[in-house]
Order: sequence, then C-alpha cells, then structure tokens
Amino acid sequence: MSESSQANDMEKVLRRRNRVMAVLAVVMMSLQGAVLAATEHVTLNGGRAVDKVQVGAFVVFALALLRFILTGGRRSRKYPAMNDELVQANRASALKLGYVVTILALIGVYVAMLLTPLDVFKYIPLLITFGIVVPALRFSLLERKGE
Amino acid sequence: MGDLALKNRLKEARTEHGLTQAELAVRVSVSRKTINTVENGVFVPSTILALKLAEALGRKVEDLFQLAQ
Amino acid sequence: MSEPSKSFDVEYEIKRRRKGLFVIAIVFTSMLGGVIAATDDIASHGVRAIDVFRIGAFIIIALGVLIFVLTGGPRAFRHPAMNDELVRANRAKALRLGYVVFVLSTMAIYVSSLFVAVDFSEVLPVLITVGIAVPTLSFAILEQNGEK
Repeated sequence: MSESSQANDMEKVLRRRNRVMAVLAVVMMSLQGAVLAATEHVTLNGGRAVDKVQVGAFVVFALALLRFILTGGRRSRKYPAMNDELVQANRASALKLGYVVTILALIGVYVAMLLTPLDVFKYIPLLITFGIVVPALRFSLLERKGE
Repeated sequence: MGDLALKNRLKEARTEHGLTQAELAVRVSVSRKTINTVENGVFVPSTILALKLAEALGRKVEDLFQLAQ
Repeated sequence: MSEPSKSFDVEYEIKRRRKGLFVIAIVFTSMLGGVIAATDDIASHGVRAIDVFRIGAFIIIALGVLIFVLTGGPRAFRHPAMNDELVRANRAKALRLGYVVFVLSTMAIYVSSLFVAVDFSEVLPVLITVGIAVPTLSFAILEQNGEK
C-alpha cells in the first residue's frame, strides 16, 4: 500500500472516529429523559423489565463511551498514529475539562441538596452523562481543529 | 504548549524533500494533522518525534527546530 | 543570586509542594467524618452554625485543593520551572486517573442505588473526597518518583 493511500485511509478513520464520538455524545444526552424516568421507577417501586433494561443499557453505553474516549477505539491498534502525541495531548485536555466540570457539578449538587429538598438520585445519571459527554465533545472539537 | 516559542522549518524541509504532509506523517507514524499543527507552530513535538522528523527528512534536528528568542 | 542557588530554590519549592499535596490529601480525607456528621445533623436538627462551618470549610478546601492541583500552587507563577513539561505530564496522568476513578465510582453508586437504599447525603461528600483526593495523591506520588 502506498504511503499516500495509507495516509488517506488513516485520515478517513480519524474523521470517522471524530464524528462517531460526537454522535455518541449527543445520543447519550438525548437518553436522559428516558433514563431519568426509568431510574425513578426502578428506585421507587422496583420498576418494570423495560425500565431495568433502559438503566442497564445506559450504564453499558456510558462504560463503552468512556472506554472509547480513553483508548481511541479498537482501530487505534491497527493505526497507532490514531493515538499519536497530538491525540494524546487533546485527550488529556478533554479529560481535564471533563474532570473539572464534573467535580464542580457534583459540589453544586451537594450544596443544593443541603439548601433545598432535592431528589439527588435523579441527578446521578445526569452527572455520569456530564462526566462522559463533556470530554467526548471536547476531544471531538479539538481533533477537528487540526483539520 | 511550551514556555518558549519554537521556530521551525519543517514545511520548507518537507517540500524540498518532495513529500506531502500525509506522506511524511506515515513515515514518522503520526497523523497528517500532527504534521500540520507542528508546521503551524500550534503543537510542539516531543524529542522523539523531532528526531524522527529529522531522520525522515535527512536533516539535523537543529536545522528543523530552533528556539524563538 | 547565583544559578545554583536559583535551581536549589525551585527544587526546594517542588519538594515542599509535593509534601504539601500529601498532607492536604490526608487532611481533606480526614474531614469526611465531620462533614457526614454535619450533613446528618442538618437533616435531623436543622441548620446550626457549626454544621455550616464544617460543610463550608469542606467545600472551600475541596475547591482550594482542586485549584492547587490544577495550577501547581501560587508559587508556580513565580517559578515556571515548577510547572515544566514533566510536572504537566504528571498532572495530566493524575487528572486522568482521578477522572476515571471518579466517573466509575459515580456509576457504581448509581447502580447500587437501584438495589439498595443509598443515603446520598453521606455518599456525595465521599464522592467529592474521592474525586479530589485521588488525583492529588496520584500527582504527589508521580512527583516523588522523579526524585529517586
């Protein structure tokens, strides 16, 4: 395979990874309403099977997206350049932002809980989503900048 | 990315060598985007990458990168 | 001031910062018992000044430690070498670990809360402590590795 076509392949894979990451982040955000309702049902009265499936699917999806952010996906094993220095620097920057934003959000929820009656369990899936979506979107944006 | 700015002649050296960004990227096992950001001074390469670039272009590292005073 | 003295000051400051990070992490973690007690007291007795003080101190120290880990401390502004490439690399590793542990802990708590009754007034301060103590200790340990 010539260098040019190899480089083109990798470019395509990189762009696709970016798009996929952004799409998955948006999908995760859009699940919030359903996850919140399912969480409420399961917590309050055991929930129906569909609620348990929704909650389970949310956790699995969150773990998968987290793994995707941290490793860059399975294709990076075939194309090590997909996790080169620039990607690693972008990932570090994205994780730093994700960490800071989520910690501050958690502190905010804690303070709010002390001041007002708050159903904290409703905010936990939101915090998880925040903690994963923010670095995913940030990483995607940083990767796009280089293009 | 660093405390001091870095001047580089990477683009010059690359074009003299007749390579595209993509071709150079493949030779040093990074993405084309990384080459692009190094050439534009947005990203400071590590020592290893700088050495790989110098080797790929048949130049010394100090011919490619200098500290901006 | 001669060059060797300048580098000695920076080394000293970096060592001091590292020790400070260990101490801060331990002190912060040790506040947890008091904070949980204060949160419980608020739930049972209403808000008292002592509870406000304990929780307020916890939040302020949490934010202070967070800023310290992210910036390297106020002295790092005077000595850029205190935030050189190695320190930034160590910080990135520590924050990555902190992030992963924090997100996974939150997920674990979420899943547990679906099966057992979870008192979030006690769990949230624990999560905050984990989220801040883990990267702080990790950063301190990574900085220590460089001294051997």
